Amino acid sequence: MPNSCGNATTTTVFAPILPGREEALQSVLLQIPSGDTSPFECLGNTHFTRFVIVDRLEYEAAPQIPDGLKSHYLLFNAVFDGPLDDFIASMLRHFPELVDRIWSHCVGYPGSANPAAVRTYLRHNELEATFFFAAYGNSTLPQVRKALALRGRLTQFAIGAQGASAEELQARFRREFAESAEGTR
Amino acid sequence: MSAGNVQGNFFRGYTHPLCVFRFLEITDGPAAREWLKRLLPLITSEAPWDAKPAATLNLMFTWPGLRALEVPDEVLAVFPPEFRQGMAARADLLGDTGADAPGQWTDGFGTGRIHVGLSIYALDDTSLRERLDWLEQAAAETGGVAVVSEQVANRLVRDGPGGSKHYPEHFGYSDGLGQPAFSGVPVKSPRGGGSPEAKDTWRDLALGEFLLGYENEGGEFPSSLLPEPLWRDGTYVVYRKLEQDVPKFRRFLQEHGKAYPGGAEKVAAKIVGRWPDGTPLALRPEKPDADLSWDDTRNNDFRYADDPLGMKCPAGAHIRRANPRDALPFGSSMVNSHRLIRRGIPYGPALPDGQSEDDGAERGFLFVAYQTNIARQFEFVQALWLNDGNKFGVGDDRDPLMGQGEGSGKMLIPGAPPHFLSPLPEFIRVRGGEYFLRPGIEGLHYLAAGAPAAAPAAGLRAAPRPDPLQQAVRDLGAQVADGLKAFGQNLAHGLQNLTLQHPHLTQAQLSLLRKHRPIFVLGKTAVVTRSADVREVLGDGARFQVAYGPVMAALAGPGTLGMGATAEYDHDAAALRAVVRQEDLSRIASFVDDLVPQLLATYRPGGRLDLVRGLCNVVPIRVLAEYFGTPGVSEDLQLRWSHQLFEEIFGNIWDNVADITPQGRAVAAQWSSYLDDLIERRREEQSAGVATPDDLLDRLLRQQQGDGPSLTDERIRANLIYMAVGFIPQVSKVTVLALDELLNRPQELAGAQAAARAGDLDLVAAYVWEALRFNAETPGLFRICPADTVLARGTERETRIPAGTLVLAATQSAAFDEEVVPEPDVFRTDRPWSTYLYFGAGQHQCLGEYVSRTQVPRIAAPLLRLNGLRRAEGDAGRLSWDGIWPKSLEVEFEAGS
Repeated sequence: MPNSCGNATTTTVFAPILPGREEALQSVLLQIPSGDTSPFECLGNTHFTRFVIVDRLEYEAAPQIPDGLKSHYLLFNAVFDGPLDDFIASMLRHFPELVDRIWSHCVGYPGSANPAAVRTYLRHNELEATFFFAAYGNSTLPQVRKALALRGRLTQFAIGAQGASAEELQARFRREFAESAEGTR
Repeated sequence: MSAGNVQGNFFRGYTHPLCVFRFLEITDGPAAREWLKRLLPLITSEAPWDAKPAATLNLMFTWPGLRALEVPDEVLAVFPPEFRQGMAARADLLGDTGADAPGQWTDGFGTGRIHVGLSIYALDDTSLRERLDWLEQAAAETGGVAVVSEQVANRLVRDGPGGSKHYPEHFGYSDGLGQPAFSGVPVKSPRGGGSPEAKDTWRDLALGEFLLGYENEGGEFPSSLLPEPLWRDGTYVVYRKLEQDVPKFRRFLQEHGKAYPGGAEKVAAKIVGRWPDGTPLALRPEKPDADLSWDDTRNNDFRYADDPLGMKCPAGAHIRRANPRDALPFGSSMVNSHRLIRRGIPYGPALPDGQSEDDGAERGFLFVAYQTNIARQFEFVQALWLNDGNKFGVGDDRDPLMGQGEGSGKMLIPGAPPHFLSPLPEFIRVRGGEYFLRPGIEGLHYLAAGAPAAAPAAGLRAAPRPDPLQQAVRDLGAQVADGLKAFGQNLAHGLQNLTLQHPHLTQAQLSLLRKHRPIFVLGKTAVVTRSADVREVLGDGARFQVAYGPVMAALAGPGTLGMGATAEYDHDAAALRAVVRQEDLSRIASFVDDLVPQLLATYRPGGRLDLVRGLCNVVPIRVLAEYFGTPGVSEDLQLRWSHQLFEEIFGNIWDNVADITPQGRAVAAQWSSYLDDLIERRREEQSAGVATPDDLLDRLLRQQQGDGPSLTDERIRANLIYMAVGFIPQVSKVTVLALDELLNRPQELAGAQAAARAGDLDLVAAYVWEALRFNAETPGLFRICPADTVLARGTERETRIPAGTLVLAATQSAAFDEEVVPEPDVFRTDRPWSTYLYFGAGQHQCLGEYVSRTQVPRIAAPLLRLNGLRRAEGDAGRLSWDGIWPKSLEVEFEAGS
């Protein structure tokens, strides 16, 4: 199962771009917000996504013969919790028009009106990973977020408690994390 | 590496006390090139000095600067994207935001106006002033450049025992002790600069990490798509003006020194990873050691692997982030391709010791770093190692000194108890910067001469190519092996991919094989690269058989091309040779001479033509119609049929009948049926006494009535198909490739054009065939060994080839074999025809050789006579491919010319 690591799945879709559509596609991609306002945020299970327009090959050897591609390609990579088909279905449920605006610039994209065909299309253009490493493969996105928030709290606590005596430190720690400690019992 | 071709201050840092950077705008390209010519004799190189020069001079250029010098667009386009964009455009990635943002920058940085960076280091004020005056005089005389800004810098010096010196920066740390050690240069670096290896040894890094034109740690040659003078012995420079708030830094140290055991000096050491005097924390975690700090053999010889928690040197300390040595997993393999040569220098007055009140003075550091890949080296280190701490297990902590952007605002000093430096303000503000190319001395000559004409210009020493390396041979072996293994038992597909893709084996790979493994046997395949051996393979059809027979037989019946050395072959070949006559060549010549100008005439008003569709595909199809008497159902179908069957026959190198595609069978059937009709009609016309054209079809049919050898209808049909299959696509492809190569070579293009205009067709042909050597149509021809045999017997290359081995006779390589081809890397028009092997050799030497040799230069010549011939702008002007076949290549010329 090279496309999965623990609970996490990765997909890499390498789709040929229709000739002459690169700029239009790029402007669609540049308009996709990242961070908290990313459309992928609302899926609730996406660790990372990235889009790359692959327009040429870099080959570095001297004396060099330039290498070429038959087409320009859109590379889409995502890491998410759960199986790929659920992820595709989730994208089509939450932002079908964005999926259309992106992949309609690619060769053979069937359109979100036919979700089964979109799934077939993305799977057809998928490259299987030969080695996939997920930093937190055994944790879901909400678990990772929770852990990061806890670390942030602990860091702030440690900074604030710098120089405190052992007794005071223990008392403050209990005050600060009593509720978390209860939660884990 | 040629030290005299490398600009100075590269592997030996200048130690002059004074320095001025001048940033210039080019206002007029030709005048600026004149200006540059004046400066050339004064450029300081790495050639050994008799005495330290009183003043140096070095130059570097931004991408807009190269454009302003009128470097051609096609050259500008192949520079790496980060260099083309420039530092300001990379601000988000680098964390240059807020007060560091390009909008806040000074001195003209980030405005696109800085084209040239000029640096002078001087021993004293007088020498500096003289050099500056001279430069001003030169600029006033030639014009073409204007000063945008000037930056004065001055070294701070800390004297040590025996005349040794350290060069601190304004925060008070001795700087520059941790430079990379790399191979191929005539200086010995202190221990600890290279890659940390087992048994406490250090390996020098590859020169190609820092100097263009040499192999880097990844076995690549960065930026080698550029014309050679632009990369040979050059480097990319990151220049950043970093303003330092020294009073703020000192107050911060004092404040935290009160709470942290060890005091302000130890806080300072933990922030950087060295004590201010240069003593590494990794070796002396408790207190500085003056003897150690002055001992170049020891003060950089340390590692971090024994201190994973950073108890001695914090994981977040500046020098441990900027060069983690062995602190990351997998030895140092994640570190070695992210190193920088640093040649920075401070500017502004030193703040007196002990003073921590603002004095209003501007001071800081001019960060100057050399590398061959800005994105992978400087940008990677800044964005991922200095601005973020995830890699080092410290979350989003940034580098306490050099990190930028948002972060947690703290630094952790591990210990018992740990200590947090928080809040952690920014002590440095980016005031501007640029990315520059710092060419070798030849590169400066190239730019001064005007780049297009200068590519192979006289007076420039042709630099030797990089030494081929055993490592690369192994890589190639691995590449071939991967290609083969991927297909399990079916080894052939691996080589098939190698030969059918274009470009295929690179010249570099072939050259490595020629030198190190001239007969390269890998499993059931072999690649033969020396001229003598290639000729031996092609010349002996019994030991090395053609591999097309059964597939051809299955497609349209047996043809001579697929036959071994048999009586049947002799008979059929004799019949074919009898109908191909010497005098036919002049007939074909005049046909092509009439046809090509007619074709060009239709494009003349528009001044634009697709070489592939409009010319090169058309001519062989028309010649076939005229000379063979087989026009085809349509020209379009004739082309597609020949492509399809070519791939079926020559792409199927194991000659596996089962691999013939249904399309291939359909095409063969349709083509055969078309020819059957044609044969029947022609025979009827002949018997009816109608005047018929004197073409090959006609002659082959009349031959059947004579006494000599003749072909049956089936064999006529098959051979007409196979000759078309060999003829149409390849004539077109070689013509396109030769023209494509000439369009890449301004000087040779001009030579070929002059020859065409002078009516010297032999010279045009010499240009065309020589161009094809550099842009080969195929890496070679395949043969199969029916029985064990020995190749190159009696030579040091003597190699046993087992029965069943598929042998690639690399004709492309043979044409570069130093043994028989003088100056193989040079474009020469005086080479003997035997150099090329374009039509093979031996039994299956191409039957159409003379027809093709007559045709190809005659297609090129009228085109070369057009005025202003050039590639069309953009992608249209680049050769595009449909699988292995050229698809389009548009050229422009003066309309009506």
